[in-house]
Amino acid sequence: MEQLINFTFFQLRSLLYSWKATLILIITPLLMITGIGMIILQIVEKDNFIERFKIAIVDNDQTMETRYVTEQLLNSEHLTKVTEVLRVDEKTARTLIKANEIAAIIILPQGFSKDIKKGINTPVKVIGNAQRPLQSELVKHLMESAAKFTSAAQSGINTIYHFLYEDQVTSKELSSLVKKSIISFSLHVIGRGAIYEIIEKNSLFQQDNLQYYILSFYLLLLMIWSFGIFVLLKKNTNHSLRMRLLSRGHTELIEKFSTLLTVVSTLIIFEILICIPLLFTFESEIIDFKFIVFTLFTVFMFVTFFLMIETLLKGEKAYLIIGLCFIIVGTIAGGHILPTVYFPTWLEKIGQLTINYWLLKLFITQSYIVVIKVLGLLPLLFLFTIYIKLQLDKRRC
Amino acid sequence: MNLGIFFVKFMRIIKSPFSLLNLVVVPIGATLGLGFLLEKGQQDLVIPVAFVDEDQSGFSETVKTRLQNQPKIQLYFPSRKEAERMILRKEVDSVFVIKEGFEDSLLIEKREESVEVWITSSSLAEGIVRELIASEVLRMTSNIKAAEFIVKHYKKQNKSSFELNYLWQEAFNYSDKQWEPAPLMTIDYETFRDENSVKDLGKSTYSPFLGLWTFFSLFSCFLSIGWIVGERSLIFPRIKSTYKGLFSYIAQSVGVLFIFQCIQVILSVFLLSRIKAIEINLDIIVSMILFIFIGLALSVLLASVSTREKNYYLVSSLLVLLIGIVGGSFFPLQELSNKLSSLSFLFPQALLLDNSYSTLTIDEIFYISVISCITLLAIRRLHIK
Repeated sequence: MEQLINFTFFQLRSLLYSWKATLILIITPLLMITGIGMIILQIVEKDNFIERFKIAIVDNDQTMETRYVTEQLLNSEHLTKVTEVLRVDEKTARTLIKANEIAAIIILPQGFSKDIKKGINTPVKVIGNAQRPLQSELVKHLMESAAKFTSAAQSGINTIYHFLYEDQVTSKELSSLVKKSIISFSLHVIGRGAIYEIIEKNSLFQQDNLQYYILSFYLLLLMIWSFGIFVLLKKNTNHSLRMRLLSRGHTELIEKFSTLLTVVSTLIIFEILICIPLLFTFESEIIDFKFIVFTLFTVFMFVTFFLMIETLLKGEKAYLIIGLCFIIVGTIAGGHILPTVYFPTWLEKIGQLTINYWLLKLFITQSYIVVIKVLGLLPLLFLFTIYIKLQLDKRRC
Repeated sequence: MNLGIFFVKFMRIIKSPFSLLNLVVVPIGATLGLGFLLEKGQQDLVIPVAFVDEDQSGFSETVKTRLQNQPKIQLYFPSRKEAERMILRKEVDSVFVIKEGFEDSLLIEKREESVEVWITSSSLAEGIVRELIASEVLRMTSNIKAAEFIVKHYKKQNKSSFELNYLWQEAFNYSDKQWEPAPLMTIDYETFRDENSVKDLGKSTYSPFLGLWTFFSLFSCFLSIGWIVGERSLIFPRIKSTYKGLFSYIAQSVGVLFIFQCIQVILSVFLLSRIKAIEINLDIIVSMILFIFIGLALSVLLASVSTREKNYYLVSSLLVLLIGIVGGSFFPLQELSNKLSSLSFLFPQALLLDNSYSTLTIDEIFYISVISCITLLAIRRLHIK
């Protein structure tokens, strides 16, 4: 027992001694995660890109109808919210996209309006910039829905033209009626949102996106910290030193146990440091008694997990590679970036194999009985694995 | 020039399976494994939506079937009560309720508030679904609108109501037929890369492989340089006293690592081109090798300022994560903000990810020479201390 306490204090001191590295360990992930969190939140909250980007429209047809189609695109709220539209010729557009100035080109082909009036499908070419995959994907999506709206309006206009033509209306009246219908259909398209009655449903414990991402990144931070702290504590003890320590009754089991104590206690100190600003910004909205218990559980979970990896893998590099891979897979599949309901079934199944998935569930839904059932025995299993591994090593000595 | 150290180090790496693993297998394996996960994952992303049909009419049935054909939407058909529970349990993004009397009100051109949308503060994608459903409803209301227009026109000619009804149906069908076999307006999406644009085959524009490769290769570079910190206090002073000197020792040892990383590059290019993530050309191979060079230079630089091996490993893994995330290895982050994209040339990934593998520009040559100077300074620093 005495040895355990001594060793724990020794390790805590060594962390303090290398305070520069410890400080880097605390601050870098914190800054990194806050930065990315802010960017993600801005997209999620405002439902668009932070800054508007440019796209080009090339009208190779130059008729009234294409002008009307481009006008409609320019007036579409969804498109103008995120983009700035340039009207240029094809050559200029290609130079611009090559220089990475614009995210996409929309080309209305020659004969577009003639064909569309005859009821013939004429595809509009959309060229996305490979250097801006997200933006061009967004333009593609917006253009797909714009195409649908135009098709709907145009099918109505075509019908009116067809039936009036059959009725042998004078050409002057026909053109005035068709013009009238064009205006009326474009208003019809613009007013499409009217079909909805939007009802916001919120329960008492419902977290909004802000809270979701704060909790998600908080967990991620705990994970990176527990991963990093083992690198700092890792010692290069060779065989002969090991034997000497053993002869003093200083077993590896005690060492592991004291490492566990050191890491858990250090992490709790780290945690208090970041909980204070959280507490001030959100008052007691997020942080309550349950939150503290969950955090302790999470810390214990991650620490035992990484201690197990560290024990199983002898080399420093192996620990770094494997640990980092676990962090990346856990982040993606566990739902830290995008909630798992949006995942396809197979990815959600992979997610369920990660600790992150369940811990996030614990913090978000607070359904601790389910989560404890799944995770409860896991830290013990990790500790048991460590014990077995040490026993095996001892036999080899 | 005597390359004794070079061959000794070379043989040492060949004989140690772990070094080979770290240098060659890990970057390629991790890139491929995570790449498939990311690519498949983002392709298969779905929006879970609950659809409650309280009208049970032909129109609502049509909307339902057309939505079911949308690949990106996962539809559930719960009862109203169950839907409420689902949205509160966050099992769906949003709920769409087709209200009773939906068809009747559309037919009398009263489309206002005929569909209820339930959202919560955590709904992320209801906007997309809303536009999709709106486009389906718009198809119907446009047909109706056209039919009504025609009927109104013919009413002036004193037609019987039977005839008018027939005309209405005719016009409605004529308008709806315009959608077959293809809608009047569709889009052909192409991706612009280099000079020519390539037809997109339903795949997403974003391929994560090259980005992930930059991350894991950089990580592997940093890990393979750790020995400099370890040997610094014990072995370096002794080497300095030999006639060949420290510079030659470090240069030759790092040279060996560079050779192995180049083998890794060749293998990666081969494998990535097999899965069609990249096209083999000289530009991309040169850029990748330059990236490796910069990676090794940065590692030597970090090693020269680190005093303890474990601190070096900690800082380098955090640094690689930082460079990886901000430089756009995992996610094209620069696209989200102009400020970040103007800074992106500072990150080594710019060589590969930014310029779509164009040939060397003056910027890059400048960047590489700065890095080389810094590395030389770093080795000098190791020499003095």
